[in-house]
Amino acid sequence: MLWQKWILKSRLCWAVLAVFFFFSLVPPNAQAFLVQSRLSSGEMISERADQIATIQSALEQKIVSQWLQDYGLSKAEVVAKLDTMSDQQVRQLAELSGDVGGGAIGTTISVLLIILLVVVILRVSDRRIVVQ
Amino acid sequence: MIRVRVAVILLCGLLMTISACSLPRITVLSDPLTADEHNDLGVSYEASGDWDRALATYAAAAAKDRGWDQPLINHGNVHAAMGNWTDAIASYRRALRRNPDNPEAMNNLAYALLQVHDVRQAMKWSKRAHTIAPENVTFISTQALILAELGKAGEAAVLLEKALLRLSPDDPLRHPVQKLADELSAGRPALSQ
Repeated sequence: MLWQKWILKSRLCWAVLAVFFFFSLVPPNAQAFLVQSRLSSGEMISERADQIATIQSALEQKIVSQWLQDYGLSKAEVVAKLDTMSDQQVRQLAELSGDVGGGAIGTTISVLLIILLVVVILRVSDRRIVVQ
Repeated sequence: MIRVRVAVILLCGLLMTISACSLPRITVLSDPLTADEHNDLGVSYEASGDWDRALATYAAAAAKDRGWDQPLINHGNVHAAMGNWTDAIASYRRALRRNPDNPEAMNNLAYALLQVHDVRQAMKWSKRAHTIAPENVTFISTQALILAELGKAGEAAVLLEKALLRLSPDDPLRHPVQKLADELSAGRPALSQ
């Protein structure tokens, strides 16, 4: 139990905290020697930092605009709808892109359910599928 | 015969249940973005620190254009920023499978390999990148870092000196390179992290 008392000593805890505090002040150097990510134009993130937000907003608007058209809205309606939406709302809608339809997992579950249903009906009706 | 009837009843019951509910409308949502645009959107997410979204968007870009290596390098960079070095290595290797002559993928792979202490492989890729683009300061610095890890402080110092001569005072790489050079001159072990 001695070692537990020693570890929980407030002096030691404060010393450890102080050391970690100073370490946390040192900026992480992990990416310094990595070549930065590039845009499709070949420019690096840092070279277009001032325009990144504009690019993001334009592309997200494009996604949302397409979706609204997919839902049956006309181009004029889409423009009117987008005008009423804030950048934040457009972003939230665009961010759903990966979630709609449940992706691969959703598709797999749907296919499995259909197979299960077919198997149950065949079992109940005492039929079999024979592949020859 | 009874089983057939049961099956028919079950099927009718199912159809009645479905018809009783309002049927969900099925809408097929199309992806309006090209691979380039997915990549650029990924860059914007990466710049704003939204790493999960950036990873998904880079993956979409890489899937949309299966011959393009840049989204995979960017994908690796996000993993590197998150400290997922193994995933970063996998992404850089995939990028190199698409374009075996990309020195940036080689350099970043070398750096990532150094983080997982595979110094030999790191040196191999770093040398390749340096051979393709001998004047690139980032590549020179990465090689110096690896040499320092191998205990070849003298060779590393020479390379760092070369790199520092080419770096402008406001280059963001100048600080880490200078720091590494100082550590080497002070006889301290170079730290890759």
